[in-house]
This record gives sequence, C-alpha cells and structure tokens, in this order.
Amino acid sequence: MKRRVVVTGVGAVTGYGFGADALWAGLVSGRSAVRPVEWTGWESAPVQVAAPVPEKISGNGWRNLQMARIALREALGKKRPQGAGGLAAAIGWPGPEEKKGEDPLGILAREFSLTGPREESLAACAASTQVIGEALRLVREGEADWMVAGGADGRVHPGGLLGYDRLGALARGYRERPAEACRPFGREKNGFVVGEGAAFLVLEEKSRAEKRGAKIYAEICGAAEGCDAFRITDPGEDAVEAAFCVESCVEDAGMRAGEVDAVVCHGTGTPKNDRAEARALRQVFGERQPWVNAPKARIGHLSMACGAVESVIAVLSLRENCLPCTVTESWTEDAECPVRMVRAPGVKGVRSVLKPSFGFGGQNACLLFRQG
Amino acid sequence: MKTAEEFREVVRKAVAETLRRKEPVRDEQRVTADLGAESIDRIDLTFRLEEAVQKALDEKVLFAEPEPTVADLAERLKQMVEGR
Repeated sequence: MKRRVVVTGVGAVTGYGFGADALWAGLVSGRSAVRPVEWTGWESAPVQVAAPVPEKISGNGWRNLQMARIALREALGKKRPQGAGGLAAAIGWPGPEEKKGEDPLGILAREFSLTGPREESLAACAASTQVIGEALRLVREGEADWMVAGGADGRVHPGGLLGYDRLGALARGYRERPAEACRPFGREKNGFVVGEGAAFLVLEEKSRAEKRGAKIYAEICGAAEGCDAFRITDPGEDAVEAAFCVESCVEDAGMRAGEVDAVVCHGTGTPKNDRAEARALRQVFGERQPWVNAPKARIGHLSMACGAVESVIAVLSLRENCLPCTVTESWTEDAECPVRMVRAPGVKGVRSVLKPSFGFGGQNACLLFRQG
Repeated sequence: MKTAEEFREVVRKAVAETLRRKEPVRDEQRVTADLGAESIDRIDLTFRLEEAVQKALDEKVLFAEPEPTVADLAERLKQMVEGR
C-alpha cells in the first residue's frame, strides 16, 4: 500500500505581497495584482502591465533566490518536521542587471539544513509542478522523511517583458485597465501578463505528520508528467498528451475523473494554450466538467514558479473549502475554449483540486490534491 | 496583561535572536535600516513574536510603512495582542 503524503506547510511571495495568507486574501478580495509598469522611458513600449511583488525585497543573492528564501522560510514555519528533509525546486536564473549566481538549490539546502534528497527542474512553466510531483514520489516511496518543494521565478524586467512579447505571448496595452489584461479561456484573450514570486510546500508522510501534531492543509495524492513532443512554443493541438498527463495523475491518485471537483488551471490567456488546455479537460472529464479558475489573470505568469504558487492556491482552496473566482465581471466565455469558469464570489464544496501545468517545450506536469 | 515595557522587551529579545546580535538592541533602532534585517528576517521575527505572545500575527501590519523602530514594533504587537 502506498504511503500517504500530506501538505503541512505553505509559503508564498506574489504580487499580493509576502505570505500565503496575503495571496489568499488578495484572491478572495477580487482585487488584481496586475498594475501599470512605471519604468522611465517605457511609455511607448507595447507591454504596459505586469504583476511585480509590491514589497521591498532584500537579502543575499539574486531576486529569485531571495523570493525563494522567504517562501521557503514561511513554509517550514515555527516547527519543522523531524528527520532529514529534502529540497525539490525550480529557481529562475538571475536577471540581466543581477550578478550571476551559482547553484541556488545548494545555497538553499545549506541555509535551511536540508540534508535529504535534492531534485531540480528547469522544465519551463511546468518546472515547479514537476518537482512537487518528484517530491511526492520520494516521500511516498520512503526515500525521504519529508520534502520541501516549490519554485521561484520572475521576469518583471525590460528584457523579460520584451522577450516574451517577441514570442507574441503577452497581452499588449491595458495600462488603464490592468485587471482586464489577461483573460484565460475568455473572449478577447490575447496573451498573459508577466508576474513574479515564489512558493513552497512541505510534503510529509501522513502518519508522521499526525504523530507530531502538524497542521494538515491537504493530502497530495497524485502526480504525473509527460511531453507533447510537438513544438517548442506551441502545445500539441489535439491535446492528447496533455489529456494523458491529467488522466495519469488522476489514476496515480487512485481516483476517477468524476471525483475531481475543481481545477486550478494553467490558463495563460494565450489562444493556443487555452484551447489545448480546454480540449484536454474536455477529453478527460467529458460532460461532467469540474469548476476551474485561472490565477494568472490576477497574479500574472510566474514562469517556472507558476505551478508552485498555483499549488498553494489549490491547497488553500481545500483548506477554505472554496475555489475563488479569478476573472473580472466583464469576462465572457469563448466558445472555442469551453470551461466551467468560477465566477464571483467563488464556489464552495471543494474536496479535490487538480493542478496541471503546460510549459514551453511541450512539457506537461500535473498534481492532484484532496482534503486531508 | 503585559505592560508596554514588557512588550518592548519581547521585541528586543526576538530581534536580537533573529539577527543573532550580541550588542544590545535599542528601542529607537529601525529593524531594517539600522539593524540590517533582510526580508527573510521579517518572516523569522514574526514567527518568534507569534511564539512569544501565542497569537497569529499579520506580518504585513506589523511591518507596515513607515519602517518601524523596535519601539514601534512593540506598540503594534501590543495593539494586536489586545485586539485593537
């Protein structure tokens, strides 16, 4: 019998500020963390909005490493688990103006005395989802007592915005209406907004967590990964591999598709990605579609860290028994991307939440959480 | 109920432990500008203060601008504990 694994700590840094509580409060408030870019000389640039962390960040190393450190510290909390903990992470590289860094996982492992297994991924936007899945397997199979898993990334700098814009991936304009810029699965969707942040989750074998009286946020019960093997920047159009990844994840959890209540979608707001994701969900869930939300509309796209932050949202949704709305009142469904989008004020009765991520390179990863 | 001086002592002790300072921490010192606290220290310090007062604290309120001195932190902590 598989060992069961639970989430006993979460930490986040996002456009809503420091802390998982700030993230949740921001989401349920209906506010957006997307705002106009205020850089000098940027007035005529095509991309006018982003979702930076509003608080001043200080510490050793480059910004992504600093954000990782803050989220990781919060996740470990006041009383960390006993035994050798491992680290699984996807940490973005330094920005163009920053000093080059070395081995972020080594730095974090040393600072937090994480002497257990170490896993790393650079699988683009699926990276942190993938490492959380790896961490689940290590704890489930007894190779680690516990793991802390997640990621940190952000490209809120001119090079980041212009680079994504050249790929045609970003929403242009919207300076006067930043909250409307990213419209996952909606009409008039025209790209994503660049965000930044970090998130980590502590994964621990269930009986050990119960024995030490740890707070259990949720159970992490399934993980899967795969690859479209199609194009670098486009998802497979038939979504067969994306659907297979989601199905494998549900199967890994020992559940049936009909038992999945909700999905915290990858939902970038780019036409091809949304179409493929909606198609994958349709293939897996058929007529009984679970509720979905798409946090990138509110906090931007955190590149390699998006899956970790969205996993924290999934876990908090289970804790609060509510899937929050992430789109504005003006959002309208696109018939080409039919999904069961949560509208304000959110949906109650959430017992299981799926977290898929679909990255450049056709890299797919998926996690499943349920009430612990 | 703790006095204002007792709250200041709680904060001085927590700041000294968080920043591993051997020199005394003074009430008029600002946590970041004068004592060199980094972002992660704010999280650490919040955990230590939560332990000391046995209450969940909002780190955002605790460290809201303008940057608090040790005495400001103690006052904010007192208000949070007393539910004001």
